[in-house]
Amino acid sequence: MTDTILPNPTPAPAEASPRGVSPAAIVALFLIPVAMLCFALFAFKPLYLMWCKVTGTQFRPNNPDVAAAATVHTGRYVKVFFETTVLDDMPVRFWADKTSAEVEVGADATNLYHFHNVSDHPVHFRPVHQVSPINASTEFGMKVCFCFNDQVMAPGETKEFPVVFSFAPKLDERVKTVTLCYSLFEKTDAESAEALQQRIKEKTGVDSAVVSPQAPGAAAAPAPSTGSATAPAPATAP
Amino acid sequence: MEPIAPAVIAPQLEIKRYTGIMDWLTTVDHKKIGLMYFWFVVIMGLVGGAMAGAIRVQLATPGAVWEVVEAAHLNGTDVPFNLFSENRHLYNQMVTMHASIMIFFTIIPGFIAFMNYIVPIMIGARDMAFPKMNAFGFWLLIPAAILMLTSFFVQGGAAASGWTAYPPLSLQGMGTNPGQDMWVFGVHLAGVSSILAAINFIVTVTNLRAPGMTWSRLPLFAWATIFVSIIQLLATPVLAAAVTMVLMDRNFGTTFTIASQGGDPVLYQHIFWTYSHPAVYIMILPGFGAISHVFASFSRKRIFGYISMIYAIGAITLLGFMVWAHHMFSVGMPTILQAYFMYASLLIGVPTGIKVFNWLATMWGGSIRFTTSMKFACGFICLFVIGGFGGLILAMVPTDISLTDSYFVVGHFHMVLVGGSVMLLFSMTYYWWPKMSGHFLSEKAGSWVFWLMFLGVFVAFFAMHISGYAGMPRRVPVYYADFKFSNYLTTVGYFMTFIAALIFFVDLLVSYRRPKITVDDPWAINDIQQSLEWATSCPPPVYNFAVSPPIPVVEQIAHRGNNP
Amino acid sequence: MMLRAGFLTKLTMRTMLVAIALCLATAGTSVAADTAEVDRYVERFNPDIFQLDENGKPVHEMKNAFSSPASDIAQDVATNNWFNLFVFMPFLILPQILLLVVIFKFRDRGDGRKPATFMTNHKLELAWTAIPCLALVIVSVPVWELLYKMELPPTQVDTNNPDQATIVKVTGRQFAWDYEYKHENISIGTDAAGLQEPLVLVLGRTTLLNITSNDVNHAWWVPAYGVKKDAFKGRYTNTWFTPTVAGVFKGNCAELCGPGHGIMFISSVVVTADEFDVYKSLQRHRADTFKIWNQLQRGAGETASDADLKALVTKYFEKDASDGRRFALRYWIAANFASLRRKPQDRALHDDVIRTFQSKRDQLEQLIATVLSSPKPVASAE
Repeated sequence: MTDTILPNPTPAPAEASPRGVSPAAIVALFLIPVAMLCFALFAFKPLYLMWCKVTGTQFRPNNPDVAAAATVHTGRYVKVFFETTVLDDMPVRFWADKTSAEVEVGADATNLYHFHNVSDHPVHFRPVHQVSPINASTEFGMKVCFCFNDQVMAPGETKEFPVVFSFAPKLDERVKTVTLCYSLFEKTDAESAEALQQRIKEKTGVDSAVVSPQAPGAAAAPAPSTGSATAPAPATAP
Repeated sequence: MEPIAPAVIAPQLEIKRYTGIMDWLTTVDHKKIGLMYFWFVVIMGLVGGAMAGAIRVQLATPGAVWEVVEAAHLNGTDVPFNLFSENRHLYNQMVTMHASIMIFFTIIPGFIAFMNYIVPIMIGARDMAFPKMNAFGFWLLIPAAILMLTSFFVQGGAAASGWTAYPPLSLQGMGTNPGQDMWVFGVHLAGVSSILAAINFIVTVTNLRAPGMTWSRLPLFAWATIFVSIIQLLATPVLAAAVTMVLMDRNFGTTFTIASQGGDPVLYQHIFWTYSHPAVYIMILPGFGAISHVFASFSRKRIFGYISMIYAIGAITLLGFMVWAHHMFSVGMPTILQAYFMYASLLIGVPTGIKVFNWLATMWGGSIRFTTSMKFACGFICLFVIGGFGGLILAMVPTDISLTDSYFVVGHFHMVLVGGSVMLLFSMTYYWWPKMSGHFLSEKAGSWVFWLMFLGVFVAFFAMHISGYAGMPRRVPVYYADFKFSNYLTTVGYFMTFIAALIFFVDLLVSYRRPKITVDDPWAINDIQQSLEWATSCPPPVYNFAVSPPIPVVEQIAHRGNNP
Repeated sequence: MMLRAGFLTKLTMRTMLVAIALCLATAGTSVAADTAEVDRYVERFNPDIFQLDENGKPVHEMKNAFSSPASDIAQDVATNNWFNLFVFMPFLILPQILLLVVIFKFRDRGDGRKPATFMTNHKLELAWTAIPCLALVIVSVPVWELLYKMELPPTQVDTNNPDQATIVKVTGRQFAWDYEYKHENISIGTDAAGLQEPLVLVLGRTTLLNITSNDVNHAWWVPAYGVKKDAFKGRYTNTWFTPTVAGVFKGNCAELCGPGHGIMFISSVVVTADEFDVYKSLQRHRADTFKIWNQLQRGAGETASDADLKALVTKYFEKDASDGRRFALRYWIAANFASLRRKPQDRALHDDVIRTFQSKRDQLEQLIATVLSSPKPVASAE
């Protein structure tokens, strides 16, 4: 810090040293926006999903650690409301056996969900679940769920799936009521009815087009593309 | 203090290929492009202002009070006059387009106009680093504006999902209503334009400074240009990505934001605000840099706290990238994140406060001449501090949850964008117009413009704050009777502002008939400022300086002087 | 109508008893007093939020979280907000004062005064960096507590106890709201005239909202409660508050959701626990009143024949002829008429409603009296 007006230092000659950005750097400048565009388009989503996982704000929260944890009997119960919503005016009836249940924190709980396609065409939907409040969703895990995969239902088909879930013992003390809600989103990239039936036929060995709407058992027994949810009986804790 | 002996560079003669209109269409001269930017912005500002007028007229009609509409229904009388009663969809289009035009075609290019014209001269350059790219960037704005404005006439009308274009609303009308797609393309073109400008400014300021124009002597406007260009370079592609997601989801069957296919509408909001919060600073930082020169010039002092000004701009730039989610506190975020975004947002108030106090210190002890430019600069401080105060209130999460998406937010960002950015643009125009056109603007008319503008902005947007506190949501064409008075007040303020803008527009046109300025330094300020743009003729010759210009010998950083 | 009649049987016995006792207490001998009682409840549970008084002022004023908070959260938000304003106020006032001082003190008066030449002052610059930081620290402590509180209801509130908490699923759709009371198994949304029904809450009873949407984004906002949450399709957001003031509160959708965004109004009523028991009882019988209502209000100029109506009324009371059920029938007919008068679907129907409302209501009252005074055909269903 000087207290007087500085004399003008002798300026360096313009050519003394290369200053500013080189041609390579200029090319880099042009690449930055392209990189940012690619970042936002392709890398942002995985990052966002990671962020959601940490904060519990994602669609379909499921904490594998909680799901895999051994049962702990904490003696603390929360009341779980089971919400079922069918979106996009799909012709599906969707309900749960229990609309609410007392669930012990740390232990597995089960509920049975029923689906009935009331239309004469196949429907393709994605089940999306959410846990409210969000403080509960970071402590929420599922062992068995139909929502791990998209579902296809033949005309008139009836299905039922169990859901096995649990809450980690470190669930916030203030949480006493939890809402577990399933929403069925219609898959808009719907295949043509024929293609869909063909696929169902391939997977199940049953021609869904000829299955009687009132005979759900035949078509539903090996449910298509449902991963671990194929077993009708609830899985037990490991 | 004597100027450095200029290094003689062989003067380049201007090669003029065309004259008249073709000269303007083909020019790559940064000054002509700057002027074209300027006129484009003036016209777009009037268009956007007229759209605001439609909104304000609607909200001041008796039919905007829903109770009155209901009563008319009950009594079987005619529904009182209501501009958009038959077509509320058109109202949403107006809201969307007013915002889009004001942001993408008025305020952002408004600063680019001055950055284009003034910054190369300020740093002693003969032109921008990439003159042809500069012209290209400007000409991209024309189709962008045409795309947006003509979308009113296509099926389904213009985009009506707000300038934020949140899906799923922006996905409605897929395949049948191209208005939203045209909006996206408009944003794309405007985005490319501002990215090209940003690259150009970075290279120009780093490479083309005259000998002796070291970083520590760089005028603050050039510094602000650098930081703004960095924001544009990093953030604009993210906006492009966000709106591209909407475009692709609408037309090409992708599923970025469609929840049924694994997308997430909240993801869009995060990406959008990752751009759009820094974009707020694109709309104000250049003015922060420029206004320092106005304060210093008319106070007959040097800029106070040059270094801290640069650090403050840098801090705002950095923090600007870290606070985006404060626009979306109501989406349901974990408390810890809310707290983080709250504290980070509050922190932005600190560098902004530093700048305000530095400006006041710049004026302190000066000998202030209240030209119109200086009036606008002082009016800017007054209004911007009020707007910034609203920002501090909004940053507090509990309050924000009540006020977000209410008229308080509308009042807040209009107070900082009109009371801030637009006042800055007016101030810069009055300051540099003699340099850019060679003619003075009328100080008498300017006084009218200032007082109408200042009072109009204050009345209009302060009333908006009141509406918001009372509970009025934004983007509504009708409201409860409780909000009637404050809405009428806002409309009165709007008309004052718009009259001011019209007077200004006429004065701009008239100014060309005034006598030509013959001196280099029409404000008689350069003995202290030593700024290069006042060391060349008004307007500067093509290629600005025939010889490498004299560099200011007064250091920017500096000394205590006769500190009181 | 989104009613699920099947769930309505789940009400507790106690609730029913309270409701019936209330109705008994209020059922006077005079028909006029009777009607007044019904109208009082119609006004309570189905207020007209767009009503203007003779001076053109709204009867139910807009209340906001800051000047008239109506919930514990809103109260805290208001307190916090005024505290923050107080802390931040110097940063609003000081620059304006300095600006005025500068403008008047350092104006160029042409007296040849030399301007100062200082360009920096480190102590000052440090001060106006550090002091705002200090202010931020001051405001950050209380707000953190409030944020933690806004997250979830406190531990001592048992949200599973219907007497301590109301849990409501709020569903937004273009352009109305549906509400589902989880403990009480009540679903409401739009009424007989297609008008938005108010969300009825209980004074001092913690309210938890689970908010979702059926289509585009919405946001549920009643300013007086001091909460607002966005509604996303398929996603559930949650918020809570405890109403502390009884009354009628207005709100609006706060997220642009299409052409009807501006008229996607919200109303909410806070009543006492006893009144809420009446409300539950009313909702319990609601679905059964539809047929009678449809018969009574068939269209402009049409009047239901006594015989048709009587058959329906008799059928209505076959299930249960309690006073609560009787009150519900009278309430819903009056409430539906009230809604229909507010929102005419078409002019002819509206004029007809205005003209014939009283006579139709009298007709029904007489029928009810006749049906109930005649010997009961069957014993009460329950």
